[in-house]
Amino acid sequence: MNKKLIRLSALLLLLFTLSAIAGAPVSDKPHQLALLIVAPWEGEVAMHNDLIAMREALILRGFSKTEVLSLEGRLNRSSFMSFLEKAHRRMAGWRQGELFFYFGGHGIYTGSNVSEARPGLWFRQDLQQNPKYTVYWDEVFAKLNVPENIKVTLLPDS
Amino acid sequence: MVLKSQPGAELSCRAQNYRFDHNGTKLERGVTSYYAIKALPGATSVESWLRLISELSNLDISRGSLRRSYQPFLQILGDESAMAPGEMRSQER
Repeated sequence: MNKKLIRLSALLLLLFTLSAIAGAPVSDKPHQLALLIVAPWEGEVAMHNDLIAMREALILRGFSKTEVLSLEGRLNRSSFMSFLEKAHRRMAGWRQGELFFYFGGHGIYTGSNVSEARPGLWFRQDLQQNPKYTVYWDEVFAKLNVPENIKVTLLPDS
Repeated sequence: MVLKSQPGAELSCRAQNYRFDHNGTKLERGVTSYYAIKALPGATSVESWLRLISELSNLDISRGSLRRSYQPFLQILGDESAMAPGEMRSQER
């Protein structure tokens, strides 16, 4: 009987602790997250080298390994958007902080002049520009939906 | 921070790769990325980051380790005084 009581007390204590954590106010400490994405076409090696170097540089700047999320390889819209969704969930609830977004790859655009151009990312060498392998920048920002007061620095090498 | 374009050439691909010296061998890198990464340790703001990128690429051109036609010309779209990546946390410490 005593053992059961102890177990029940321990369970109640655990539940109380978990609910206290869940209900805790969001930390005001600045958060940071780096998203490093490289999408080389077949035979391209520079982007992988850049990704490794960028990751090392950010860690030397104080980013922890868990604050640097990388995506590399033969990407498509689905894998890329899932990655952005993961980043969005990570930032949800942040009150302050910074997001660094780095992209190494190829770019596309629609439109014939600057005022109507819609720039985007092009993941696979395909003259048809299949939508499965393209994502426009406005879609990137919409998916990330970065909370207010989060500073975003974007560095595209494309 | 994005590549600067010449008037009339806004809608064109300008990113280039280059084979840089790396521990005695040549390693292919994106030119923009190479200098952005090299300049990052000394950057406090995005503006100073851009300035360092320019200084480092100019230095390499003067040393003959980068061909002038590969020099990256970047510009800041947004707040120039914004902190460089990692700087916010370092100011907390």
